[in-house]
Amino acid sequence: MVTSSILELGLNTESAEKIREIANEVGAFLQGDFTLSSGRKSGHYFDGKKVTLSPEGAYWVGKAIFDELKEIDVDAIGGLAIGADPIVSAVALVSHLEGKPIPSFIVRDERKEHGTKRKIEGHLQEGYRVVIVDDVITTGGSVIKAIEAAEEAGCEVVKVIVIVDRHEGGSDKLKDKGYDFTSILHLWPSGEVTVVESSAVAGEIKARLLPR
Amino acid sequence: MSNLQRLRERLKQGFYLDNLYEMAGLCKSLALDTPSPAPYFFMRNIFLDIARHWEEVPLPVEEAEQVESKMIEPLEELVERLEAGASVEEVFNLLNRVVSAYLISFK
Repeated sequence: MVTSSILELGLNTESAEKIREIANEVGAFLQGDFTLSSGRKSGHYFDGKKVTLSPEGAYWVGKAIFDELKEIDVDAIGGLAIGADPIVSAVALVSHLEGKPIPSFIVRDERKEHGTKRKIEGHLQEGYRVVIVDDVITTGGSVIKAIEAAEEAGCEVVKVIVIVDRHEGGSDKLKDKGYDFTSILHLWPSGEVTVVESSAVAGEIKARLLPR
Repeated sequence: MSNLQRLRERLKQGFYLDNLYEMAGLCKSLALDTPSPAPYFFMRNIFLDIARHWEEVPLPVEEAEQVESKMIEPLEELVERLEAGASVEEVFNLLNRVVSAYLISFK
């Protein structure tokens, strides 16, 4: 049942464990008192760019996400700048090397400059089946912006993948909206980092608590 | 509720990324809706500047609170006096206080 749950999540745990290891090595998991973008305070912070901008981290993130997608009909992968930038590039590169190229796009949040709309850079056409990615999901705001931009462009979001799910409502929000959501790692409010989410339904999987 | 009242309510919530962008948006709306847009334009750009400092980086609570402690009070006073229809000279002086607080916070 452990195996079937891992398969159900569709994650290659070797890649996920490697990413967790790299995240620890590069100091991506921080402890302290942080103010998150939503205003919430947290004793933990995941600096995703430390992973995605490291050579080894970029490779394993690209591989983990590509492996998740290679059996799915996907036209493009994208996300909100700037967290998604190195992720989509890594996936695009791995996809080329694997012979199943997946073009990428970036959603710029123009709110920051002009307060009006979002702009899409890169490869996206109306009717595309797309995957939305981000380094971390907390309340879901950034991911939802990217989803909305893709859907406004006439695309279908077939999957959402993040590196770290902080389990602060964002992933539940997406699942409630019917999106196929996957996270490589889970950062729990306690600060523990797991690769496989506990199965609350069957109770047959225990979250593997990996040392940080 | 007017946008100025919304801005006043938002200031009470403090400085965090989402709120800074909301306040910047309100200031833009206010600037577009008045023959005297300058104070709202300045406030908008200050909020956006702070947001850019804090975007995509771990923000220690202590740092956010230090900036808040310097900036919230002069901002609240400026918004209150704008609501009351203060004179150009008074608004200018209050805006100077806001800008000074910002420059001290991010020197």
